[in-house]
Amino acid sequence: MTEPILRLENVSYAYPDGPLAVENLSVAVEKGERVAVLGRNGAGKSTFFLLCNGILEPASGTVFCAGRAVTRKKKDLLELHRRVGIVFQEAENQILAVTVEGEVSFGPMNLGLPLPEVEQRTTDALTAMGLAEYAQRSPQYLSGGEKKRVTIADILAMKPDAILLDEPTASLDPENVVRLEETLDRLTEAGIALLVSTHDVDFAARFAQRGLVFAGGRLTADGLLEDIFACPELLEQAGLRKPWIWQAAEAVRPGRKQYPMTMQQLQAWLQE
Amino acid sequence: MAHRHSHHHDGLLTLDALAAHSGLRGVSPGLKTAFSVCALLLCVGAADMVVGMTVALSMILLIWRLGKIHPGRIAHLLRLPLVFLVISCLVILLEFSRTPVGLWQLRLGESWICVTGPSLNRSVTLFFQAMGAVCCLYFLSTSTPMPQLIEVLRRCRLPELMIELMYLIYRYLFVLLEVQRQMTVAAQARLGYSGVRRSLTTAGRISGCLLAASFRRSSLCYDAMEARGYDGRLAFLAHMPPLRAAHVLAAAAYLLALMGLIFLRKGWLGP
Repeated sequence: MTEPILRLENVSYAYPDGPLAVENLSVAVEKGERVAVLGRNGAGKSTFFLLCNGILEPASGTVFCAGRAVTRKKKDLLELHRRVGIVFQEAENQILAVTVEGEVSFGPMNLGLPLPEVEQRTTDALTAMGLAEYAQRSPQYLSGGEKKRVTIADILAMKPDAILLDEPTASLDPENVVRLEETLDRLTEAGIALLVSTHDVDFAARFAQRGLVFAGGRLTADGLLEDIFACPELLEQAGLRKPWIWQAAEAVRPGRKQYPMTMQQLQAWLQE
Repeated sequence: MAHRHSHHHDGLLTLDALAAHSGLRGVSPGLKTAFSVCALLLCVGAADMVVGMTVALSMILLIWRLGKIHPGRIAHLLRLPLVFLVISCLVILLEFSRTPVGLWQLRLGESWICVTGPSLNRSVTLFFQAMGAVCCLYFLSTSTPMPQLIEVLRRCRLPELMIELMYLIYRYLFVLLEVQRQMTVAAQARLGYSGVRRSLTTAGRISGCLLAASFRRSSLCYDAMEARGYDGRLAFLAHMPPLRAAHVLAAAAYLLALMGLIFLRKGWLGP
């Protein structure tokens, strides 16, 4: 078996003057995997992401990147930043440059690549996100959905193995959520592992099979979403609800353990 | 989006949007900068009303025809400096005197307000000199987006730190303006701007909140920068329109013609 792209082993972290934000966390993500990260605000999802990318240093425990333990050495950290990218919730906080092209080139520039390589990667990432004509635009003239795509292109240009998306659907209109889902499908096809934190359980059910549930800084569940939604105590503890399709199906035929979560599953289920 | 904003923060955003869509955006920003600075220096140095008028009119023509900016927009942009200039030139035009002298007089109690030949000449010259200079700068700012201008300064070997600051300030100007706009709307919705006293209090509170919001945001931004491997040097890819021979020739021709005009006016040509 190949090593997982990212593995956290007994990782704990506490913010200065705060209680433990993440406690004894162990989780592994394989290549090309899709994982939905669920839980209340302040349950530790964002801290988990920042630990995965190496911005925060674990108080105890180890982060492994492609099988190697990550130390606080600059080289190791840069490698982790490259391999595991974060798309932050607020595009405005991530976008830094004054042109779209400059913005996307920021990561590759920091990797110290030669200029032609930076240009190539920038162009590729912009094309992949359908932003090729926007290269010279200023970010202040982009719409919310376009800004989100720029922030994904930012990470894509670093050729990552995994992308962590912090509530990517939060500020998007329904049309852009559909586009985002298509984008995520393409990233999976490209072999990139995706971890998406979200409060939208319907979106989570469409997006992934595996779910991580955080509650009070601890990982309370790591498994199939249908098992997670079948466990009422878990849902209550994490402040989650079941997907609407699940609830509707349960209302039609009550008393079962598991129900469909997506449209396709529902259609198959109704034909049983 | 830009249009919704332009109402609130007229100057900056209008200029920024105009430059982004200018017909001259494909011309090398270095050339445009050199061209407008040279024209400006010639115009100011010549201190001549015909030269000033020529520069002002030709620059407006360039902004209109080559920059493809609607004349109404240009007039709108020129309104502010025009008001300012007219007021200051009036002050220079009018002279106080104990006796009525010059071309025009108005009695004011014991003394007279007069317009004399030299004062008329001085104020008209100054007016056109300044108008020419203003138009040169408008030519630059309506045709060159700020990012390109900063890149030109970088190539002029301005310290790296200043360049990075300029980039960040320019970027976050828009972010903060948007936050400020939202706060203002929210305050308006709660009648925060009814009456002068309350308006002042509200504006003060908003400034305070803006500062707090900036601090919060700065740490989030820093995280995002670090996540992409930031290590103390801010570097972006900057695409600059290339320098073209035709553009250089056109700029040189204009400047030479302008110099010719100055020589002619000063009587340095011919016998």
